[in-house]
Amino acid sequence: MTTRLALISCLTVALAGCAKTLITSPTATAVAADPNTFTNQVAPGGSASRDLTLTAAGQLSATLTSTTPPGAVLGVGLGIPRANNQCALSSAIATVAGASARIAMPADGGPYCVRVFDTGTLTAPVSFTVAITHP
Amino acid sequence: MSMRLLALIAAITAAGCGKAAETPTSPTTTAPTTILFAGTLQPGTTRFYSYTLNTAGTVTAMLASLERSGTPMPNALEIGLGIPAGTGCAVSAALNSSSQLIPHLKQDFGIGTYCVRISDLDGMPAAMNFTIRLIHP
Repeated sequence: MTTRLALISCLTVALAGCAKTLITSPTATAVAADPNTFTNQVAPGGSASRDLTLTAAGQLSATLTSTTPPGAVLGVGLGIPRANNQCALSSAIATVAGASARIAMPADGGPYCVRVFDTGTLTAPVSFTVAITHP
Repeated sequence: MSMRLLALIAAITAAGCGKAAETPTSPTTTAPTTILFAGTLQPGTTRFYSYTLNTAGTVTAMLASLERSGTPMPNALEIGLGIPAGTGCAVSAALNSSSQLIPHLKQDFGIGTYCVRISDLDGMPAAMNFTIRLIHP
């Protein structure tokens, strides 16, 4: 009887040890800014850019979703970041904000950038939002 | 018999439910090197950049940007990979293309000194700023 109690006790201790590995702590959900939304302001003759990294090859796209004031024409381009902190463009469009205000290019993995710039039409600063998608 | 069972249970418990201690090992990989060859190309001219491979492997070259006064230009230029020869770069592979974000050229090389070359064969209307991204072992 004593031996059986000892066995049960040992098994309980052993299984309790195993069960501990299954306990998981609750994870807190952090609310962070969407890294794929680029919001900034462009002054007349100026530009703003955002760097990003593709971890795999795929389609890189940027859509000018809104401007303030509405109807402003902005340039939106895709390129690679240079050592001088400039975004050297491979391709660009001049567009007003909207669902079709999109530029997309196939890209290899690596660092890239999106640049929004004045194409020569701005007379006052314009705020904008660009949605970026990539692999 | 009971003592044997006790010993067995003790052994299982000590083993931590089968989770044996492991010594982590780091994989030995060499990160590729990225070179940005940037400059201004005058119409009808050629520029090149020499680099050394200490490890054999694949080299990729991409004309990532071609701009004039900050505006991307659609002109096609010749991008080539080769070996330095005299005061130039003798290319073994070349391609005429406008800028893009995927590699134009991909070629395997052994250890040694090599070069990447950019040439205006079609006659650009004006000088343009270029950026070539070169990735090698």
